[in-house]
Amino acid sequence: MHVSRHEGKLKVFLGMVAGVGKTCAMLESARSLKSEGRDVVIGLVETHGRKKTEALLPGFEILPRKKLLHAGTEILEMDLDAILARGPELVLVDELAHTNAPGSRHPKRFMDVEEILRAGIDVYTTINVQHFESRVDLVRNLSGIEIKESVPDSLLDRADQIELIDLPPDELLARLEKGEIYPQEKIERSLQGFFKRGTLTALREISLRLTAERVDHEVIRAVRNRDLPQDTHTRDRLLVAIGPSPSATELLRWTRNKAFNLNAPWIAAYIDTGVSLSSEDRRLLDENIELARHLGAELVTVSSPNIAQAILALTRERQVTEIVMGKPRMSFVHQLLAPESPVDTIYKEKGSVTISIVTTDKIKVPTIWQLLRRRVRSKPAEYLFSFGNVAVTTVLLLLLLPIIGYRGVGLVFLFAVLCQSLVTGRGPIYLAALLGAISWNFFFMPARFTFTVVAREDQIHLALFVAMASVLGSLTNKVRVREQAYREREARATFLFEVSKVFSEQNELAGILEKLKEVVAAQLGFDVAYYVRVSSSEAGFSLRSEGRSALTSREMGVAHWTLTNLRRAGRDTETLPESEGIYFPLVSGSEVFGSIGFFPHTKDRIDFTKKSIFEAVTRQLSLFLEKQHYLSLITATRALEESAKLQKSLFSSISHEFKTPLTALLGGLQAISDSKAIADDASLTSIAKDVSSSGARLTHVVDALLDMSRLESGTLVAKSEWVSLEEAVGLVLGRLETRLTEHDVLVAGVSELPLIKADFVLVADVIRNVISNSLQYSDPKGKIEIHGYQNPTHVIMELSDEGRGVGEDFGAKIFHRFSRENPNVPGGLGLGLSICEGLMDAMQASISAVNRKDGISGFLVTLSFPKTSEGQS
Amino acid sequence: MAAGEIKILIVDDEVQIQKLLSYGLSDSGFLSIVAGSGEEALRVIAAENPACVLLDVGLPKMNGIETLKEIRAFSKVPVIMLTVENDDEIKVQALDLGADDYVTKPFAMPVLRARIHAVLRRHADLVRSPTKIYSHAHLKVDFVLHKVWVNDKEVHLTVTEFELLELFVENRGSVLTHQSILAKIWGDQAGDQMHYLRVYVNNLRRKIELNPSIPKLIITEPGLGYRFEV
Repeated sequence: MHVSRHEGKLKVFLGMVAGVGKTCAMLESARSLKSEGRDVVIGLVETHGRKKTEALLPGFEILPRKKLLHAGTEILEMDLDAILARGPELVLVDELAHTNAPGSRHPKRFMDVEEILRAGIDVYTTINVQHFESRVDLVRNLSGIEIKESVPDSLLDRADQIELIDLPPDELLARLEKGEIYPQEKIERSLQGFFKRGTLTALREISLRLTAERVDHEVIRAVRNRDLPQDTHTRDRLLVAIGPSPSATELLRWTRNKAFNLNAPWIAAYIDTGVSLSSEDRRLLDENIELARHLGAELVTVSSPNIAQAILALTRERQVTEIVMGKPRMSFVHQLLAPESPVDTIYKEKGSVTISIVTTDKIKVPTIWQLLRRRVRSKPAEYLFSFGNVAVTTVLLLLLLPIIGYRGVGLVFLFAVLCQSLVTGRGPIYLAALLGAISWNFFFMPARFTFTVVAREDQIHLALFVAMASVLGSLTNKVRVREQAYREREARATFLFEVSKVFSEQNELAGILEKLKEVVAAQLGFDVAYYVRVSSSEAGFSLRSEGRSALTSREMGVAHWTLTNLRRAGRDTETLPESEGIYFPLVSGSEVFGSIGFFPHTKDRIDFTKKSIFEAVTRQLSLFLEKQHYLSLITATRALEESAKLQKSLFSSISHEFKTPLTALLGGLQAISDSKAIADDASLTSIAKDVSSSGARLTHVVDALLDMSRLESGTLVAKSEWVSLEEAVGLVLGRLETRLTEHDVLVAGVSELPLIKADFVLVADVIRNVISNSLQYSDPKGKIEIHGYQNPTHVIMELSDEGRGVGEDFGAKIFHRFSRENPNVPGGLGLGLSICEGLMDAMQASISAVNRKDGISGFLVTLSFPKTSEGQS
Repeated sequence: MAAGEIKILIVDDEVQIQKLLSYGLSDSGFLSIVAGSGEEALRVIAAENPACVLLDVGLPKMNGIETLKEIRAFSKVPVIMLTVENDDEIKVQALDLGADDYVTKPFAMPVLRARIHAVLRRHADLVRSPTKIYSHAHLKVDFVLHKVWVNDKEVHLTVTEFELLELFVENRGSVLTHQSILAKIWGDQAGDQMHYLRVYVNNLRRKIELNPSIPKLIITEPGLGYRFEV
C-alpha cells in the first residue's frame, strides 16, 4: 500500500467578526467555480437564519449532516466520512474554529479539514480573526472576552489563499441594527460584546495586520528564495523553554509571532529535570506541548537536572540566536516558595545570544496559597497515615516512658517522622511533625494532659523538634522523589533496551510481535494489538490482535484511520480521543505496514513521555518491517529471474531439438533432389519438391508455436533500440522475395518515416507475419501496398492487399489464437496475427486489422508506433 | 586425401547432420572430417589443423559456446556457428567470442557453402594485400581514388558512407555486428549511437542499391548487424 502525498488546496475567508459576509463571499466564489464545471459540494454552511446567505444556497449539492446524540440532545455535525466518500473537487466548510460534539472523530473542526485536505480535496472555509491561536491573547486584552475556540496559525500558514472580508465598523453596526446579522432579541447582547465601535476598529486592525503580515512574509520568502536558494533559515533561530506552567501558552504564542515575522524556525524545549510531576502538572505540560506542536514549533526534550545549563547547551548546539523566557512578577514570598528561576543564570552566561523576557502578569500567577498547596499536596490516605503513625508511636512511648524519660520521647518522634518521610509526601510529613509535637507536649511533658509547657527548655525543644522534623523529613522526601524519578528514567532506558533486544534476538515477525507484546505488558502495563499486513496483497490488511482478542469494530476503525492518515490516533490524542487504546501507524518511507495499538491497564492519562516511548517502539518495528519488505522483494525478484533463466534455456533446447532434425530432413531432400539419380524422373522430382515445401511449412509452424509460447510465458522482453521501419520492410521483402514473384509490391512513404524506439527483430517478425498472411489469403496476383505516414504522436504503417478481405463475423475474432476463417483450408495455424498483437503489445505499440475502405476489396493492417520525443529522421 | 582439398571440421552430435554436411560439402572441393563433441573437436583441431570449423551450438556436455572459447584460446581457425532462429543472444555472444559467422538451422547447402567461401577468403585476405578495385554486379568501387560507380554511373558518397562501404566490402559475405561497425567507423566511444548507423546504412543503400526498399547488397541481420552479400 502506497501513500498519496498529494494534498488539497485551502482557501480561507477571513473576517474580523461575525456578520461581515464571509459565508456569502465563500458561496459566491464557489458558485463561479461551479459554473466553470468544477465539482463543488457544501460540507457544512451555517446560515444563522440570515436571508441573504440562504438565498445563495440553491443550486449547490449540500451533504447531509451527521446526527450525534450527546447528553440526551441531538446534535447535527458535519459528516466527515460522507465528504471523504463523496470525494468532490472542492468542499465548503463554514466556521473553521468550531468545536465538535463529543464522540466525533476529532475534537475540532479544523482537524476534520486537515483530514479532508490530506485526502486531496480542496477546501473553502471561513474564520474570524479572534480564533487564531496567536491572536487569542490580543483579542482578549482588547475586548475582555475569553476566546474558547482557537485554530493553530500553522493552518493559516499552509493556506494557499486568504481572502480578507473587510467591512467598515459603521456599516457593520448598521447591518446589525437592521437585524441582518442577529435576530432582534440577540442584538442587545451582542452590542455588549464584540459589536462596540472601539472593539470593532481594533479587531479590524488585527485582521488587516494579520493579512498584511502574511503578504510581507510571502514577499520576504520569495525574495530570500531567489537570493539564497538553500540558506533561507540560517539567520535566526528562536528557542522558548516551556514547562508545566500556565504561562507557557503566552510564551509560545509570543515566540511564534516573532518567528513568523522573522521567517525563522523556532524550537520549543522542555527540560525534564527528573522531578516527578503531579497529574495536574502532567496535563498542563501535555497541553503546552500540544500547543507548541500546533503553532509549528520544533519540539525538543532534554533530560537534565539543571534547566539553565540544558538551555544554554541547546542554544550552542542548535545555533539559537534568541532565547525567549517568561518571568512572572512575583512577591518575595512567591519567590521563596516558587522553584528557583533559571532566567538569571542564563542571562549571566548567554554570550552573544539575545534574551527576550516576556513578563506575564496578564497570566494568572498562582497565589501563595496555591503554591503552598502544590508543595503539600498528597493523597488523603497519606494524611491518615500521619495520624496513625503518631498514634502508634504515642502508645508505644507511653509504655516506654518510665525507661527513656519524657525528653527522650522527642527523639523517638523524630525517628518516626523520618521513617514516614520514606513513604509519604511532604504535606503529611509536616503534619506528622506537628502531631508529634502536640502529642509530646500533651501526653509526656510535665503538666501532662494539658497543652501548657512549663519548662522554658521544653518550649525550645518543641520548637526545635518541629523545625528539625520538617526539614529532615522534607529533605529525605526530596531524596526519595529524586530517586524515584531516576528509577523511572532508568526503567525507561531498560525498557528501550529490552525492546532493542527483542529485535536483535528474534528474526521472525511473529516472534517479534509476541515478544514485544510481553515486554510492553511487563514493563509498561499496556496491552498491545497489531493491525498488520499479513498477506502481500495490496489492500490485504488483516488484524492480528494478540492479548486483546475482543477489539470492537470501533477500535478497528481507529486503527484503520491511522493507516490512511499516517498519524497517531485514539486515547489521549486529538483524533477519536474516546477510544480504548492509542494507535500509531507503522510506516517507513512510502510503505505502510499497518498500525500498532497500546491499551493501558489503568485509567491514567497517557502522557507525552509514554507517547514518545510508544513512538520509539513503533519506529523500531516499522524499520524491521521495512527491512523484511525489501528482503521479500529481493527474494521474489530472484525467484523471477531464476524462472526466466529456466524458461530461456528450455526454449533454446526445444528450438534446437526441433530445428536439428528439420535441417537434416530438408538438407537431405535438397541433396536428393539435386542428385543426378532422380533428375530424369519427373514424378520423383515433383515429390521431392512437395516434401521440401511441407518441410518449410513445418519450420514456419514450429517458429510460430515457439513465438506464441514465449509470449505466453511472459519471458519476452522487447528491446528499446532505434529502428528504421524502412530497413525492417526491406529485410522482410528480401526474405520473402521468392514467394513475392507473382505479386506487385508498392512501398510508399516508408523511407521518410523517422526512426522509432522498438525491437527490430520483433518489428520485422510482425511485418513478415502480416505479409505472409496476405500472401496466403489474398488474390494470388494481387497488389500489396505498404504506406508509411506519421501524425504528431505516432508513426504509422499500413499494409494492404487485394482479395476478398475478411468476413464480417470473423473480423472480431481475427486476433484470437488458432482462429482461422476457414479451418478446412490447409496451411497455417491461425497464430500469425495473434502473435503480431502480442509482439506489438510488448513494444507498447498497436495493431489493427479491417477490410479496406478505399473502394478496393481487400484487407488492411495498421501498425502504429508511439513517437519518442528524441525521434530523428 | 587429394592435394588442394580444403579440410572442413564438422562438429555436431547428430549423425544425420554430420552425414548431410559431409555429403553437401564433398562435391564443392571440400574434405570434411567430423567430431561428435566439443572435446573431440579440440583434439581434432590440434591434430589436423582444419581450414574451417562448423560448430553446432547445442552440443551435449561442453556446449558450442564453451567449445568456441576453448578453440579461441589456442587457434585462429575460422569458425562458423550452426544456430537456431530464436537465439539472437547466443549469436551475438558467439560473434563476440570470435566466431566468424553463423548459419541458422534449417539452412540450405548453397548458403552454407557461400559462407564457408566468404570466411576462407577473408582469412586469406588478412595475409594478402587489400583490394584496390572491387566490382560486383552493378557496383564498382575504387578504394584508391575513393570513387563508386553504380551501373557505370559515378555516385557521390560522403566520407563516412565511403568508410562504411569499405568496411562492408572488406568483410563481404560475413556478418558485421552493430557494435563492431560503430567501433570501427565512429570509434569506441560510439557505443549506443545505433541511430547514426541506421541512418547512414539507409542513406548508403539509397545510393548503391538498385531497389533500396528491397536491399540486395547490404543485408540486415536482425538483432545482430549487417552482411554485405556477394
